[in-house]
Amino acid sequence: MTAWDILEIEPTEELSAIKKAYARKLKVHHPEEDPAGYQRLREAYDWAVKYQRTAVKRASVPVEAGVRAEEYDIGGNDQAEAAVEMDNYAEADVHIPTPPPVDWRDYQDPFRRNEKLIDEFMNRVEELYENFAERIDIEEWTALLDSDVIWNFELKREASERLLAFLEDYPFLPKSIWQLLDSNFQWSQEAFDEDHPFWDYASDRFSEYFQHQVKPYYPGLSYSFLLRAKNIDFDAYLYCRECALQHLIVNEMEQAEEWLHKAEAIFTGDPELLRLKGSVYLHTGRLERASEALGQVMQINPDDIEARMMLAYTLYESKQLPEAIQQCKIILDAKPDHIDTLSIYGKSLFEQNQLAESRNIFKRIEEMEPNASEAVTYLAAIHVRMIKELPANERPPLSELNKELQKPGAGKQLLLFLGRLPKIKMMFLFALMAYSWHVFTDMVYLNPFEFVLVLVFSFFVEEISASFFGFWSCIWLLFFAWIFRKFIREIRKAWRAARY
Amino acid sequence: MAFEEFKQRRRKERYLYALTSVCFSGKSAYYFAVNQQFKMNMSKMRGVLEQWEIHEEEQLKPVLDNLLKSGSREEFTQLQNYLSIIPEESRREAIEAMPDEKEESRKRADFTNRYLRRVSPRNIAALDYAYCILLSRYGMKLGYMEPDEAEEYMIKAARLAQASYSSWVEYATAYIIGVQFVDCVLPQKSPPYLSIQKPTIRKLFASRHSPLQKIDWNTEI
Repeated sequence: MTAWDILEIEPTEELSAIKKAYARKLKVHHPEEDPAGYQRLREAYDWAVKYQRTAVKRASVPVEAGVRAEEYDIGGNDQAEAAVEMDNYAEADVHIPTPPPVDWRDYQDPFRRNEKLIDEFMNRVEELYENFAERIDIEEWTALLDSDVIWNFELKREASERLLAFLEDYPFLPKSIWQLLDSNFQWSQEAFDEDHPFWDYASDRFSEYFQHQVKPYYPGLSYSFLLRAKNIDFDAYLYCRECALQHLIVNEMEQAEEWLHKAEAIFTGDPELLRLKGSVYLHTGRLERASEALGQVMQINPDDIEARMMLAYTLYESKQLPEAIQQCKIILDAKPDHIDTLSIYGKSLFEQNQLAESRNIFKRIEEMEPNASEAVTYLAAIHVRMIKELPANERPPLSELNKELQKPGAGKQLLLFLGRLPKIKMMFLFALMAYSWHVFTDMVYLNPFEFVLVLVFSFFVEEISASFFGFWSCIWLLFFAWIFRKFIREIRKAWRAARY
Repeated sequence: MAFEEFKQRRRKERYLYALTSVCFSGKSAYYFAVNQQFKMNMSKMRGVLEQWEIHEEEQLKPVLDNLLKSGSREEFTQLQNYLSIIPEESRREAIEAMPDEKEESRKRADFTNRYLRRVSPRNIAALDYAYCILLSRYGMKLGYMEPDEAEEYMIKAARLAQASYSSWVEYATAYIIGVQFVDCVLPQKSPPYLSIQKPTIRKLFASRHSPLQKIDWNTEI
């Protein structure tokens, strides 16, 4: 059997084809499951790569020879010799020796020695992974990366590929360890390299997971609380937790909840899982269950400020205001300027009608962040309620509150009113109104006061006739009335906007 | 009975106008907020619809459906979920590490981080519901939609808003945060939205003639 047979490709000088074949066969002969098969595959791959390099070197020689012959222009005979030489090389190219069927592995002795070192490296990786405490200890991995294998360029490359293949099957490491390994082996850079065989054949799922682990902007959950778990299937648990996280991030709450339940069936004491549960319940409006889950986090880890913050938020939303205030106070004792907590605290106080205290809190937020949205709205609402509900001795002076609300005086309101009038439109309407009234009065020969009197009395007194009120005068009157209505409406709109 | 129906109808209308009173911005925002029931300039209404890329009748309903179903709140929620998993002290670093091609996401994540726990869990849905009502109204006035259909959308959005928030102040806060969330990817405006809007917001809350003062949040609709 030749190396090409093992790689299951035709003899080729294309390195990428060899690499792709190697990566494909790596799936079949996994180093852990089929060490002998993997050994054969690796040797075949190395041979094929060496063969390819030799072939490339050979291919470059005739060209160089040809160039030389032209440069020196050594005459017809020499040229003929050079041509013969080139033909020989061409022939050599045609007759590329195929790998000997049996003996080719005899050239691999140095490789075998190296392979032993890599095997030792991988055995240590396996040991680390199997022991959960060691698996999540970055010191252990740092020590591993200090081994001899890593200091040899060729061996490091080999170790990198085998480690990555291992991690495809056993990927559950803390994010910090993934990042350590990635910075050492440069996997994320190779992931964009089209010629890198592993990434061509790695599953999409693993590629995505890998990206999540090495990208600093993607969240990673803590593994440390799992140390308290005894005899659980860590990988099964971590798989469920990871799936829940992925669904939660893209707002697929039902699926997230399903995975959370599966994870919970394996282990229940993980505050990270409880926090995810809290998030799911909070965003699906099940506030009581969210409080319960977050309360459990507090029992496990009372110092978890973020979980406490989330608990305060949930309690405020479920209108358990005294409890929310209590949680806020605990956080503010540790972090007095925690703006998220101040916001919840202020809102809870507002809901509890503790307006003065609430006002102080929102004032503080406003000082910390001048354009804080909730400070603007809540302060306005607080000031209005203070004016309406509190006696003068229990609230700041009215002038101060009005100033806060930017309430204008009567003069300013009038100016606002005039400013709000659409001037050109008003002038146009006024001109139309004046003109239509003038035409109308010309037709009926009465001043407006007399006209109204005659019109009204004509309905009740037979002796008074409205016969002067002809068709055109009627049209002009209607036109006037229509314009007058528009005119009044503009005044009304301006007044509605100006009054306070 | 007919009078009762008329009163109920009027109550609903006024409630819907109140829900969209927060949608106006600029120096004349309060003027438009309190005068919505008066006839509005057709080209202005068309301009608003065009901002939402609604140029024809058929384009209106998908936009309204999207506003009811997901709208801008979808992205806000996703960012909220994402950020809430990252420890607080690492969030800024994580946001800054977002690649350059995710510039918009980075800006939005940065904004969401600011308001992570300062907005109701229904977050910026107020923005989607308010615009659903406003666009339905304008669509109806421009003849893009039958009045019954427009009313159905408006009532649906109003009920969702009512179920999501507990007061005008909560609703308005969510709306304001929503506008800034949408605007934060635009080139820096000077001055920012809130510094222009502050007097309008204050007046909406403070004036006894303002719709937010006159109409009860829990009005039956």
